[in-house]
Amino acid sequence: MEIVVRLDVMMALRKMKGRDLAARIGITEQNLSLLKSGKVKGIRFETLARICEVLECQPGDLLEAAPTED
Amino acid sequence: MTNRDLNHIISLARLLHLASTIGLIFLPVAIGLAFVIGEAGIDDLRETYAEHTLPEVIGTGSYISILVIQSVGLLLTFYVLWQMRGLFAYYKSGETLTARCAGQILRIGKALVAIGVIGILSNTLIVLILTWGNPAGQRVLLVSFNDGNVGFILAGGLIVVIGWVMREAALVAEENRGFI
Repeated sequence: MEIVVRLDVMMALRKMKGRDLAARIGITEQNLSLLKSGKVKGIRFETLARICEVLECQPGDLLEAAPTED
Repeated sequence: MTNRDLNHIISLARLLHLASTIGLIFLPVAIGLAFVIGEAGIDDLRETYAEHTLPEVIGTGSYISILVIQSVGLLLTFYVLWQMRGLFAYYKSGETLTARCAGQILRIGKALVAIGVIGILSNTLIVLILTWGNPAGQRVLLVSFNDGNVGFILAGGLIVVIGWVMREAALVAEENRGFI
């Protein structure tokens, strides 16, 4: 299993631009881009909570456990 | 680490980088000057080791051997200054918790321990070489250490331990950089 980040889906649903979300949760656009692409080792609860607050969603809406592709 | 803390590190590192650079220039110049003004000759050796009974003639071979032994400690001092300069160069560029910095700290610590050990050994060897020309019974095998040698070994050991800790800290920091 692997964790897939569904942040881009939720951003599209909320019609939120990357620059705006990055500014509101207090991270750089570069880091947000890394997060969206899943190229990070992890996400801090603090960051996750801020994203959930801004996008008005639950962590489960942003993260999904999917079978590993071989 | 706050920006204020980092700025303190950067400004102090700039100063220490300059000091270690000056040390690297000053050390060979001072040694060269000692030879030029005749403060590193056989007579000076006699003066330094006046407490021991020395033979009438100290041969050139003995003198050169002693210079070689003394140069090991000086080369290590030069190496420590070089490594310190490298470490402060990283710090002044804002790089602190990295494996490279930890490596520099470890090398500095190990070299300081080596300076302490060499200090003890070189004194033993120099006295032995100087008194080798004495008749049997007047040759001296001296094993001694002063607070300077012990200080180098303890300080070096402390810095080695700090280097290990910094290496662990660098790994944690690297791991932490992967989290957003």
